[in-house]
Amino acid sequence: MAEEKKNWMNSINARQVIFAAVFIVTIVPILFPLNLPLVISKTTIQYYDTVQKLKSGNTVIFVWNQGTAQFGEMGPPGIAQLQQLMDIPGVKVVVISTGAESPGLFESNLWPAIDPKGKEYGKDWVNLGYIPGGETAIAALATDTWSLVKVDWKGTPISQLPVMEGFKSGADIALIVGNQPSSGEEWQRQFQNKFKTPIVWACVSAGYTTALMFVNSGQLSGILNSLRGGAELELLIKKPGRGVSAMDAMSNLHLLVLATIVASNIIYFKNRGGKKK
Amino acid sequence: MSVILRKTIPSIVIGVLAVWMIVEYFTTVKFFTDIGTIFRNFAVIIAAFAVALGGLSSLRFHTQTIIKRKAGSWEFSAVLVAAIVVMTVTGLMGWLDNPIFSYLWNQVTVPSQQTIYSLLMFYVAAAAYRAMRASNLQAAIFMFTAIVIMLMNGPFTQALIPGITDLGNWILTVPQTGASRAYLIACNIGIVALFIRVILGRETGIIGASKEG
Repeated sequence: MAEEKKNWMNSINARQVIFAAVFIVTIVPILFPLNLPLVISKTTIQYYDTVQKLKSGNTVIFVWNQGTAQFGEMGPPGIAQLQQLMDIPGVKVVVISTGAESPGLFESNLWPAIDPKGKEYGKDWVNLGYIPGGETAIAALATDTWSLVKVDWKGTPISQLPVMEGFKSGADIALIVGNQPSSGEEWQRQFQNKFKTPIVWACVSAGYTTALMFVNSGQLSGILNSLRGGAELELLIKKPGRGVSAMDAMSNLHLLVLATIVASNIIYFKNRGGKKK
Repeated sequence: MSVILRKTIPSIVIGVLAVWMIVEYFTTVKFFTDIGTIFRNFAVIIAAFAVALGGLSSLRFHTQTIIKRKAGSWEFSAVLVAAIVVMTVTGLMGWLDNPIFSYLWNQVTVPSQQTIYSLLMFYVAAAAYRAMRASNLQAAIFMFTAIVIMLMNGPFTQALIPGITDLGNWILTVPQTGASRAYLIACNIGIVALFIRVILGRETGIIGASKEG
């Protein structure tokens, strides 16, 4: 019996233990929230303050460029970003995607989580859907919007949408609020460099370090660090949601990764010491 | 086909267009802007056709795989072709308002892609165990930096350890930004060099012609 148990133990490798630990530390705080503290980052405060400076009548572009895979990480920040825009009275919002999957995800997962606060489609906000062509399309949008975009995602001519009266070129835009995996350099080149349009951005954690470079240079006015930035924004707009509820799991996972690094080094030095002997 | 048709004329067209778009970007002359707008709209239309072409090309490739019954892959191709056909047809018949499209989108596409992406966390944790070992000075610096950034990014550890935010921010804004800027500037100088080669007609790879012609 003892022999059998020993064989079973030997068959477990470190990877299996780590996988099991990741599963446990993620699932436990979701079932039993720990309410661990969350410090709001400086970049998130910069982001929040920039958006709050918008005035009634301003037109804002909301860039929604997430694929379905990233929705778990970038959905909560996207919801908080759009909700903050909807909360500001009189601000007009134009939703644009340059990723083919993004409009579907917007309709199925993002928009249902938003309280439009009485904002009316066509008058106060519009979804232009997917615009192919990457940076070339963004440049065309900035130069002469009406020559590029003829209809919204539902096929309604933009001449019938009052909100589009305030968006003929990049010069009409008061702020760009973005949510895409990278740090949105193409939007900076075509809008910020040409029209000095302020840009605030949410990107995945891996892109945060690159985005930070553009905050320091003044090309971005604020950034959200993926899910964590989304949680911080949820707290600032006083609408805690999926981002905040995921923070306990995120704290635990960071601690787990640190523990694996410590364990790895202890084993490494122990084995190296043994070999020297 | 002669060299003039194959290489010279396309190179001249690309060169003229490239110079035109650069002039248009840096000036506000209406004539340049108007023509530039037409060029850009052409590019967007071509990009839209490229998306459709990609779908058709994929369909053609996988249909051939099924016909040839390529061992070990034709079954997957069959699933892919079926998915392309069903999603295209139902997408055209109402997109998210179509119950079949909506079901496949909400119950298959979104959760399966999110699951695959989420699995990364398991591998990141396992990779940290295998890779983060202070086996030499460089590896130790790498590990120390990673630990500081992780402590700063972890909501609980950031709140728990005083000074970790300042240290993490210093790493991100000084050495990291310096190195990233150097890399980015180098890449952009490379792009400018490539652009000059294109307008001078010395870069023929983009028109599908080899250097020899």
